[in-house]
Amino acid sequence: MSETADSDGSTVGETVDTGRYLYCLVDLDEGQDTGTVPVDIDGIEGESVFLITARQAAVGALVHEREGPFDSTDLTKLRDWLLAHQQVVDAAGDRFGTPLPVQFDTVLDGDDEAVAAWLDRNSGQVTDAFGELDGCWEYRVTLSWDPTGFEAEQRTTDAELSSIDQRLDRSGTGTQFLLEKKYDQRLRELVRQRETALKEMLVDRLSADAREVTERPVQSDAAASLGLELDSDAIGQVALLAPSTAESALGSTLDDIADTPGVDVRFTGPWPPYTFAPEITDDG
Amino acid sequence: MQPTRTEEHALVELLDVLLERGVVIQADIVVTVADIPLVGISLRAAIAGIAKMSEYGGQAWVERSSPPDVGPQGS
Repeated sequence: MSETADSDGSTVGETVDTGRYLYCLVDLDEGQDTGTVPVDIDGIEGESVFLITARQAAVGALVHEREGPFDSTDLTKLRDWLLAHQQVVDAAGDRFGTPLPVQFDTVLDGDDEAVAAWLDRNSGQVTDAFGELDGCWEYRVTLSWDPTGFEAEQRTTDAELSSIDQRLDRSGTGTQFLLEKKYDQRLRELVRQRETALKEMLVDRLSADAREVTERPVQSDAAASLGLELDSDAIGQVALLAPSTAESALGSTLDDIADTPGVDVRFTGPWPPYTFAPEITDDG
Repeated sequence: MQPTRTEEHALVELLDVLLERGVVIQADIVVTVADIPLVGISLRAAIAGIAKMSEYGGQAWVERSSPPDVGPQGS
């Protein structure tokens, strides 16, 4: 396969004669217009997004015409594409309720009829997935912690640190070096233990009001690569699946957690449930 | 507190799942690039390459390569 790069960094990979870029699947009301239905949402690079409905089930796919995957070495362009993809899925959620968000850069080979036929073949899996999500959304909670106050407290209250400190006062230079190292190791161990306890508390308390809670990496290489600012004090992040009616209870729990000394909490959403979306294997 | 939803949050928090999660479709109808489905090769290579540079102390290179404006972008 050959791949060529345009002057703006865009590259062209495998293409098909007719294809549809797929943003998300949506749950429709019975009686919804069938076939190809225009929707007033701009897609990636301003493409016109439209809805293709299944013929035998009340589900649809938001797509635009596209013959191959998006690909570029220009990071600004990539960022804009990702954001545009997400904005379409967000708009779909506002209009149709919780969508099934599809992974970025999914292009289906074929025309509207082919997509409708694919939806019909897999409508059972799609309908089951909507049933499992049951109107829930994804929320993200990032837990940040500044350990400065905790460290100061441990320096005066931890017996092992105090013992090392006393030995430091009556040691020679060589021994002092080793004891200082031991002191730092003990302090780091205490900080790690506290971080673990804070993260466990976060998951435990959110689990009371969320359908599902799962831990996520605090920093993604991808986000750093695109020049996005990340919180250097962040020690944990969770993705949780919950109905929007739980927002208030979750927010109240997070207010309590944010009152912990040194702790800061970021609560975002509602997002399409990317983390909790299923795999769809073609039944055809 | 109430949840917030901004474009910047969307990128920071969802980038990883936009690339790796969401509904994954296993079907002949999905266009693939040399048997690697979905996400473009250059996209992967760019991100992996920069992450590698960063690991080896190439932070300055990352900063030079990153878009100058990290604020919310319109589409």
